[in-house]
Amino acid sequence: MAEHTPERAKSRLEPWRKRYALVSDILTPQRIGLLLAVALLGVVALAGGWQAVEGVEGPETPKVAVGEKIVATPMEVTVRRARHVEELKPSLPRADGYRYLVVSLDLTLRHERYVSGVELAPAISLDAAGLKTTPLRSGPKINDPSLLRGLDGLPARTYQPGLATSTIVVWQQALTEPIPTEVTITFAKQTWRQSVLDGGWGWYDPAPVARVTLPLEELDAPA
Amino acid sequence: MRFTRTGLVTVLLVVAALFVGSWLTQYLPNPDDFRDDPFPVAGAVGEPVRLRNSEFTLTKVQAAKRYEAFRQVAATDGVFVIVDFTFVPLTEPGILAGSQNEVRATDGRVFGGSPPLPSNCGPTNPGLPVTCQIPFEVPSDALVGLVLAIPAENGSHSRDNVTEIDLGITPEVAEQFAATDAQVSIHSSRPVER
Repeated sequence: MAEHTPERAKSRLEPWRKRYALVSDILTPQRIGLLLAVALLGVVALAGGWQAVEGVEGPETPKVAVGEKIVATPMEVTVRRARHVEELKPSLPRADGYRYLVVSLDLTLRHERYVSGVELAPAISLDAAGLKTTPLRSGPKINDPSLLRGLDGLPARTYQPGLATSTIVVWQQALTEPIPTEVTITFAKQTWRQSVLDGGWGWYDPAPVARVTLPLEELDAPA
Repeated sequence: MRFTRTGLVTVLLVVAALFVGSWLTQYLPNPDDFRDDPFPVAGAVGEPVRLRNSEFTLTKVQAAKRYEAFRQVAATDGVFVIVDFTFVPLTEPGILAGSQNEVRATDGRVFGGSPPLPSNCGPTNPGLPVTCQIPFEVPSDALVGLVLAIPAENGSHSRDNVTEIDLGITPEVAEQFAATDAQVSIHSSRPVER
């Protein structure tokens, strides 16, 4: 009895399969993947490397008017005035080579637990030349501002949930710099998360949400 | 490999069972949810509250707009609730940092941390009670029903004894507290006179 085996239709990939068979012992799929990864790194390096991403500016931080409410989690802030002074006893004693730039604002904590002022300070920054820095191995870092209580001038050690606290935010600026006519203060929201270093919960990762530009007056100016 | 109807039904049943199982687990008690819970010991004003290593007796609750300590005055936009209590360690010398105590509002808010002016309780030896005053800064809308939480160990509000003392602030008392304009002078920790 005659047998008939139907011939399998030729795939269009057959020529490529044959070509790959010639080098398949060298170019294994794993090696091809490795080569692609190396090529990707090469392209990134030619484009300036990963570091270049840090220099790319994100969307511009929205401007907010003086006296308008700003929500910068966990804070709710209303900026009042910005002033400069060289000495204001007893809270701001005269400092060699520096003047104080102070911004007064109302700060309400919108979190169910109290938060220390030290944790909130990194979320507030000032755009001014010659601010006091701390030398680090990675280069000088502008100091976080000091937070004082507006009512009694004491350090704002702790903010309590839901309590509007009048606050003075203080930076030190080198006397060698001219006194700016206006300053811009930026507020960042923070994230409540566990530290990867010690596992403790806290507010981290400040990301700017609003900035306020206001005139810088002398502290003696009438309120 | 051949796909059969039985195989397909089996796969669908397994996926459905996994889906139902994972949905059900969210309703089962999770050890993480209560692993850090404290062991509260309830009490009231005037009653001794005994923790595993110390004993507290809340003697007085007052309100102030300002308080004085170490020749400085702290003022608030809210109210300072100042609690007076006696503290006595039971087995080892003890000290209670003012920043480690908390008051909790009925809506879940927790007030505490370092007060504007420092206030500590102790140090003192076992069996030698001291009286202390510790201020808490709170907004006036949180006064009613405040509960005082003092931990057995400084900084440990979880997995350990914590007091749960009702400060006895009724709506009427809260109204008086919110309207206060008093200035209170806070004394540092001192031995109880017998």
